[in-house]
Amino acid sequence: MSRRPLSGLRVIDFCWVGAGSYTTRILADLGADVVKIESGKRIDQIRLSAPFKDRVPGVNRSGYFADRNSGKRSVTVDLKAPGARDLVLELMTTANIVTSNFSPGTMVRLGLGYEDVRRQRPDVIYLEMSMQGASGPESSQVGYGMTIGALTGLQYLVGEPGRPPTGTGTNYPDHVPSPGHAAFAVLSAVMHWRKTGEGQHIDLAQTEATAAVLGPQIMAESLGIHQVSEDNVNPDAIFHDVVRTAGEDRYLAISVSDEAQWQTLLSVLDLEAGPVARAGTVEERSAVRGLLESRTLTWDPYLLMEELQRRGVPSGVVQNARDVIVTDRQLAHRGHWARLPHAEMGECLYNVLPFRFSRTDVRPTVGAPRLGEHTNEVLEAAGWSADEVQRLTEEGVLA
Amino acid sequence: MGALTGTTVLEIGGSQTLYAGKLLADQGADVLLVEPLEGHESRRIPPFAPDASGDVTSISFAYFNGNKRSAALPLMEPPGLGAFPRLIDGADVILAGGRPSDITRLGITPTSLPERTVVTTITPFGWTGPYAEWLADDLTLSALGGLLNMGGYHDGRPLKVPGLQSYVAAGIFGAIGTVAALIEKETTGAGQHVDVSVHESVTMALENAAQFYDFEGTVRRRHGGSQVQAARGAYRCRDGYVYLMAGVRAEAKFWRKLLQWLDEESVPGRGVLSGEKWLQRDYVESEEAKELFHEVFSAFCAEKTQTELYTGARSRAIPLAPINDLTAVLDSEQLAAREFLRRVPREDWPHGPVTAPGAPYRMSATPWDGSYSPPALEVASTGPTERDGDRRPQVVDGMEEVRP
Repeated sequence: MSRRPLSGLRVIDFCWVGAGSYTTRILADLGADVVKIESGKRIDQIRLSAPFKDRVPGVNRSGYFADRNSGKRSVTVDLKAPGARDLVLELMTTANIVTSNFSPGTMVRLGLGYEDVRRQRPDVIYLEMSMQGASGPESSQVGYGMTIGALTGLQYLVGEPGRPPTGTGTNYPDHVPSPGHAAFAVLSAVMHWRKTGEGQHIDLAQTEATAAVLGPQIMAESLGIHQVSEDNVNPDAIFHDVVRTAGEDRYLAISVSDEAQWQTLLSVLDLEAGPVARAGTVEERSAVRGLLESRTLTWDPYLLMEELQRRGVPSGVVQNARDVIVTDRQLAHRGHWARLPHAEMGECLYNVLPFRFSRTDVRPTVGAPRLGEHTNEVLEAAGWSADEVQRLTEEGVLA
Repeated sequence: MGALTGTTVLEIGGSQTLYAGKLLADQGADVLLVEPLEGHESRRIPPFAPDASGDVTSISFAYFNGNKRSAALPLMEPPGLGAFPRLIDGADVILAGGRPSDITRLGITPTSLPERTVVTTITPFGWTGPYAEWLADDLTLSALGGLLNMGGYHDGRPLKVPGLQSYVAAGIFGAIGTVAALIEKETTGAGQHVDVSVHESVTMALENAAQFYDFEGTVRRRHGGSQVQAARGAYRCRDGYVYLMAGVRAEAKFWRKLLQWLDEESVPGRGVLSGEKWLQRDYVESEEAKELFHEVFSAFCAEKTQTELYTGARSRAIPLAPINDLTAVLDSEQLAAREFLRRVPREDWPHGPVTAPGAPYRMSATPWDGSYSPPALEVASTGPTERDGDRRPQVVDGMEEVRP
């Protein structure tokens, strides 16, 4: 692999499940040597989460796990086995960065807290990213992206009156706000370390990283402006919503910001001048959508998008997972998807980070590791002999 | 001192860059927001502070730009920023938003900048490609990126999250790319073009939907208003809704803890939920299982408040949370204990006090240093404000003569 921004830096990574693993995946793509410490005794749940290759479950068969763990090396250590802590601490002397997303206090209980590690490696960058941070009355609560979205208002802000709010329908905090802010913090810490030689501790609460993306809405609420679902409305636009098109569950998003675009839209759809949407009431907006849909329902969404774009009306097909992989010409041009080989799954699909560097290629080149695939390789490179590794394996430490 | 103290950033163009600039500024970078003479478009993004007495009325503008300096420059005609070579030469980073043609019209061409400059462009679709010049906004990019399709009700149309989330996502990735390029520059001395796509930033958020299609050929759909599986969904309680995520994933421990809780509370109908079939993915995703669970659990929830359910779940380590509105977020004891929310001193917004999110991360050596006191557009002629003297717009490169 050619040089990357984090080449030469090693991450000892205790992260598992969602947001943590996505964080260290970003670091791996940027060139860090990410050594994932995991265990067959307490398997990363995502290794056992669908979808599986050929629908056959197995610790090395999850596509969900793969996408979060490309470019990492896997070392299995049973952290509760006698001697495991000393082994891991010694391995940490080779680490620049240590990452975890357990409940607060877990790393300290394992004897691997910031102070323990700092004695081995005074300049370590030590990231902990629990659900609600290392302190506070609710810090022990367990959760996932969906419950983080519920706690922080993200979920509340999408929906219709009288029905349960829906949010994004995904564990959104796990995929952008939490890993994104965590990776940014680690990179900033690397910058500081390069300048001063000083490491630091980072405590990231996934709830706080998620609340940060709702800053303007939280500020508005504090001024007494109660924030509710936008129902796809943009008050500055003439029309700003999705309309149904031909096909099953097919929609086109259209955003009309001025009168000329509105006239163009009506003309493309062969409609007489209709009512102007603006914000209006729910019923008025629904009527305008209905009017447009009387024509769009017979349009192929892609053809209508191309036609509207050609004539200067912002629009985009509401694409599904198949579309972004198979149909989207732009993502294909950009090389957004990588297919990388895996010893057990064959080829596997990976997102590529959403940026290209002109001098430094940061696309993933190696897929996700099998459980314990690199235990021997990593330990032997760090000074353990093959015999010692075998003994530790037999004793159940490396398991 | 922040990790980026001493780094100078010129931010210019569309709103795609706003959150990236904020992240860099809050780690100490000196971010100069270059505005057209009529003001940056983000001065007109809702929500707005009611009855604001000053120049800054957009709450979004205050949140995203409160820690930046500003310079209003005449940029309408080419060469745009090229007319201010000292500004370009003095910048470590140029952070530009908009379509590629919008950015080049502003005088920013990644290949013609000094070699040591990091130029981060955050464009709707990336710097090149068949859609590169297409018109787009947060709605159409959320649609094309694939995330919009999963938000909303199972029986309704896709619904978008408020707050320019696609731009915020691209801003986060833009800041990551920028700092990575700065780290690289420490080694090589050379900057580079970091070409960020909003479209692709949205596609990062598809969870396992792409892999489900790749491995199983199935396309995930919206499931709002319904359970994804038994014990995974929103449930009505006495004063709102809670979200429960105890459905069977990799392990059954949350399901077992939930059953134990229902036992302790002697919940009617609990017996229906017994048996090994409740640990099988096929069964818990069946309509029968969802209906049986919903009946029992909804009756249990209906008697309890969000707080009672959250407290009960927390003491049993079950992933359940209230679906909070933002007033509940502002009142959160957890956020208060961690001093996450900040009081923002703003005399110009009469309905305050204003409360804003603070640090999205806690760094021991280079702490977050945010601010919500953005520059007014026209303060340059009246001198520094009392509140925040050094945040006024800068008049640069002899601009006094050029300004109208």
